[in-house]
Amino acid sequence: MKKTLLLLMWAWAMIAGAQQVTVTSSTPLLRGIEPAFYPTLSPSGDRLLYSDADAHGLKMLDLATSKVATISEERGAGFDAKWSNDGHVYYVTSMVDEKSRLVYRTGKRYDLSRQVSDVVLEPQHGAVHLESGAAGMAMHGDKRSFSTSPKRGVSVYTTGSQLVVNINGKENRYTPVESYAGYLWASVSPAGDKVAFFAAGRGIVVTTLQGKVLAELGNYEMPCWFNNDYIVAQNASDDGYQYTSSQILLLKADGTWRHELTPKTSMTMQPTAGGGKIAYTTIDGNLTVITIDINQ
Amino acid sequence: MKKFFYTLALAMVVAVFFSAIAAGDYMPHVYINPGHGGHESDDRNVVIYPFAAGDTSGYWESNSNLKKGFALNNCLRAKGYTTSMSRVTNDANSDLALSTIVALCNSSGADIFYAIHSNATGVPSRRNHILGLYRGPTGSPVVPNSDVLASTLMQRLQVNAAAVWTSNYQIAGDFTFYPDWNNQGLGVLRGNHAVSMLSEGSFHDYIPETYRLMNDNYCWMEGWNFSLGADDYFGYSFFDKGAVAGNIRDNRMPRVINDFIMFGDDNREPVSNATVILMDMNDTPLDTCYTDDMYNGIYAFKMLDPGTYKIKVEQEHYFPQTKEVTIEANKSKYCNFDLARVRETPPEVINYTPVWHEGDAPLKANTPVVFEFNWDMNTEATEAAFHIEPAVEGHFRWEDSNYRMVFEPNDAYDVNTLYTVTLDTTAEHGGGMRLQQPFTLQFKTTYRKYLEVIDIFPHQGDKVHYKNAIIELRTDSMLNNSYYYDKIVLTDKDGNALTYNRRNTKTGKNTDPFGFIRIPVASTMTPGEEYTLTIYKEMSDTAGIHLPETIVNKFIAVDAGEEKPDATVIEGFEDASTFSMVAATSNGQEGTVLSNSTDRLFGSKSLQIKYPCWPPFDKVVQAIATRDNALGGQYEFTSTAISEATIAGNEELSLHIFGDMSYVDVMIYLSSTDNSSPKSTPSWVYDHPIFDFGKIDFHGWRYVTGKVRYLTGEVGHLNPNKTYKIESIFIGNEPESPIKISSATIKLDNLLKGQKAWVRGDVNGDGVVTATDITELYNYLLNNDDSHIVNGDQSGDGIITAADITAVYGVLLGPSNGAPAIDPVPVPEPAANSSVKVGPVPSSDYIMASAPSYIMGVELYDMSGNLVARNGGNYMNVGSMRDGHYILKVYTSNNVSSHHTIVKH
Repeated sequence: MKKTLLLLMWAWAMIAGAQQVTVTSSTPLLRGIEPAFYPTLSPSGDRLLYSDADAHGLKMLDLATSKVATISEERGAGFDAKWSNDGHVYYVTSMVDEKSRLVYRTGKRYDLSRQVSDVVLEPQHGAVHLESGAAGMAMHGDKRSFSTSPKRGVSVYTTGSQLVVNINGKENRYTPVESYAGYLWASVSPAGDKVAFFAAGRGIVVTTLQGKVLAELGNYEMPCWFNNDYIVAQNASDDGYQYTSSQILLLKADGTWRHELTPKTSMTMQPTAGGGKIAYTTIDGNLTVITIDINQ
Repeated sequence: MKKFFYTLALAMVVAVFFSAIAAGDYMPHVYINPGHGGHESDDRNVVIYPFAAGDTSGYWESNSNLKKGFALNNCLRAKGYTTSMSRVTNDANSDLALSTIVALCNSSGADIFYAIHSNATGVPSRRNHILGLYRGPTGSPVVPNSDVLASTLMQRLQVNAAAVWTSNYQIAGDFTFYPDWNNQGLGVLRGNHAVSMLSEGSFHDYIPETYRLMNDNYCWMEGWNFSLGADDYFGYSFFDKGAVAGNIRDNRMPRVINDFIMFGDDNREPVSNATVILMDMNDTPLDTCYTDDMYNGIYAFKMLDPGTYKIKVEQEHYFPQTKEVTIEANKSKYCNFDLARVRETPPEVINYTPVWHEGDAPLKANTPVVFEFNWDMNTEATEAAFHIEPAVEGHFRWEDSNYRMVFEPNDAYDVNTLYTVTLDTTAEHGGGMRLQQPFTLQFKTTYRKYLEVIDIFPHQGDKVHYKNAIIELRTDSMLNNSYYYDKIVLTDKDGNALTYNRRNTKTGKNTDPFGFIRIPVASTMTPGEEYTLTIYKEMSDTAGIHLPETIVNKFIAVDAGEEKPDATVIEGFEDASTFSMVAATSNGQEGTVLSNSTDRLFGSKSLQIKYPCWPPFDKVVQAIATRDNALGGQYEFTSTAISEATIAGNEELSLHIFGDMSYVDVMIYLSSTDNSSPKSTPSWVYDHPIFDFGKIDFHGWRYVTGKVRYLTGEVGHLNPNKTYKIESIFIGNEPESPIKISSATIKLDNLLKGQKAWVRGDVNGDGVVTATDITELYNYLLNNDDSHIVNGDQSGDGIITAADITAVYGVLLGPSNGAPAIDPVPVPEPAANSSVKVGPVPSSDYIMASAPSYIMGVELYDMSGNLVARNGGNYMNVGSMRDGHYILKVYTSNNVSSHHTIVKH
């Protein structure tokens, strides 16, 4: 039985290994205009948010017209901006209070049709986490929170070493793997049945909505779902002061396969995916959007 | 009364408010990043006694950063702050990526971010100071107040009086501090939205500081000082505890372990295993701590209530000492102790050298005089008590913490001389007691004064192949094999030291006929650049006899494999099986030929020749000429390609030779096809000229054009009207070789023939312009003797006249009269620092550089020396650059190095 199982595993691995990825298009963006960092593709893949190297300010690039709209010029706006299900952009800005010297964070929503930002979460001290669901958006602060609706479909965020899963208003907290330093970059798969997040010291973890570990994909960063079976991630190394290599990987969510979309020496980083497209930047802000074909 | 109650009520409200602050409701969140981690390549290990390199129990920056981080975390929590730490262990998994640390900090809601590091110079010089960096240009932080955060911390760290600082602290924005980083900045500050900074708390490669950083209390004090910096930043002063720490040292004795740079009080021995007792003013003990045995003398008492205390230090070899200290809340107090040793008896000489008696063998001429004492001595008084007759200029060195005095003559003593050394009774120890009796010794010197150099490669003015170069020093006796790398230094034109391949260094053994050290150079040199080999006077043999003076040889790096488009390859030496011995002259003493694919210049192989070097050259020549192998032992061989080749009289032969400094001579033997020698007798002499490629007194590849000489030994030229058949290659020993080598192994690559280079003024074709050339023209004009004329027509008008003699005079008088031009010197510089790594090679998108110290920026130059691009940080985007060879200059905080690289798309 054991032998049969091994044989089956081998055969399955061979099939998995036979997958081939072809980059079908590669388009440089904003070259000669400005460097772009922290790219975030809209779910449809027709718009892209970006920021500067410090995630200060937030701009939106229309990929069809190449028009750029400035959403915010405030500090921190680009760090964790998210698209909502209704096409708005939610983001958090930060400022240092002159008197107390504490950092205050403000939740904002950019209305695409009105082309203005509104404050949805008043300034508060402490962390603010964004949670984007198929049916709504929420911002969780230490003091106050905001949500578009109590039932937001399936949505996730992380706080410390906890994965918070919200299913139609019911919140559960999980610690699927040990990580002293904490979790980051949680997202739900397009079909809404899996969660991917990053556990510091462990790497990318894929779980069920109930926090059961399905696969650990390796010590890569910034996972985002390309489709329900594949995840795009960053694989970077540094010398403690500066980056020494960085590349974009395509990972199968079950942990059986990985493919280098860019070489280690490309210094490509901060991947995002949406609408069948993948976008990433480089250490000096050269933004590129690609499409790929996975031959399964 | 009413007013009193209002006031009381207000006071209670304020008290409740501040108690709420103290309880943590509104307290700041601090993100603590103990830098590095995992004891891996991106960590920093400093090797200190007694730890081996790589021992994780020894000093690693990640260890001390983590200790400081723990201390800071505990202190902040005790004060009511909330905190996060990026790591609490020290393994590979806890060494988080830069972007992860930044994202974790941002997600934690941190108000301030501390990256805890220590610094290193990365070069032999040492310093110790504090550096605080924040993101942005100096004075304009990207995140407001980051400069204020850095300033409050630096002031708190600077008060550390247990350390020895070489300068005051420095604060800077990372864009300004690394001006060529193109505003990329430090990775943990980039994108960080907390008020953030990176602290380089001290220099961990300043070894006394390295030992201090091994001490838990020392690291705790830095963490405590960080917490005070945070308090200052937020304006908090409610915490009611203080701390005291200090350094306990011997009041005069130098450090026992001292083979490193030290400043100020760090020159004195730290007191290990001391008991430090904290007492109240009634001498009641309150707490006790101990200095460790890690050569730092550090103690600390933590979290003390404000007030006045006594601190008493006890150690069995020292007199106890007590001091009063006043502890203030939210402050660090430093209280150092200088302990006096207990010295109860007068000083004595307990050992000495040289021990010599009349009739003993004389001593070498640099024998030091050494006295060992029972106590550490007062150096000034003891040196004044030292006398030597006849008088010799010399210097004193104190060792073993002033227990041992060494007198060394500045130069060698006189030979065959009796010396008398006396130490009179004014010599005293550190406690002030004097020597009871004068002490006298005598010794007589021998005849040998200096180490004699047999040869050095590269020689002054040599041209050396730029790759895989080898340097060698040969001496008349076996060299001292210790510490020679700092006595043989190879530098580029900017004074940067090239690195050696130490593993493959060879040194002479007692069975060798001479002493030598042969060092492969790991760095690749740049063709056209001048390099300097310096062998310092201190280089000595096993007897300690050193060179009479420092030797400096300058040489030029060249590419010996440079293509020669106008020359024809006669033999490529690709296949050893096509070579055979000339049996008539190789009489059983011959060597072997093999194909060699490791050392080659062209194609896939060279020809390696191993040759037993015993027959003298003159015998070889005679044997070749007479085909008499009874004289032989020479090694003569040929191949089909060689034996079928011919050379015209106006042509010359050139050969690529990989030398081994064996002093053998490589030659090519020719024969005339028409026997019309310019001189009639003996015909065998002039019908069989030799192309002599000179003695192999070099290492590595060299392109050599042969000089024509005859079997008589006479230097000459081919007859321009004749054609010669090439017969064979042969090897023999040079009669003037300074030393006989038992075996030689040389390699040959491409044998070329081409038009003889015309040197203006070189009438007789011997390669140089001398008065002889004028004589040859006179002989022609007066006697019609053209036997030595190769290039008589200097003016090119078709006839030889007196004007041609004038032209040769012109060449002799100076370059403006037509001497050959000096080759232009290319701009590219050599790779000078192997600790800087550059790759990949070739590269299509980014070239990355890594180094143990900060990389401030990179510059890309084309091979003509033109600046192509400059970038901050440690990378160069070459995605849009043309394919080709380039030089990448890497600027670290302490050095500049150049690296050959290739762009290929």
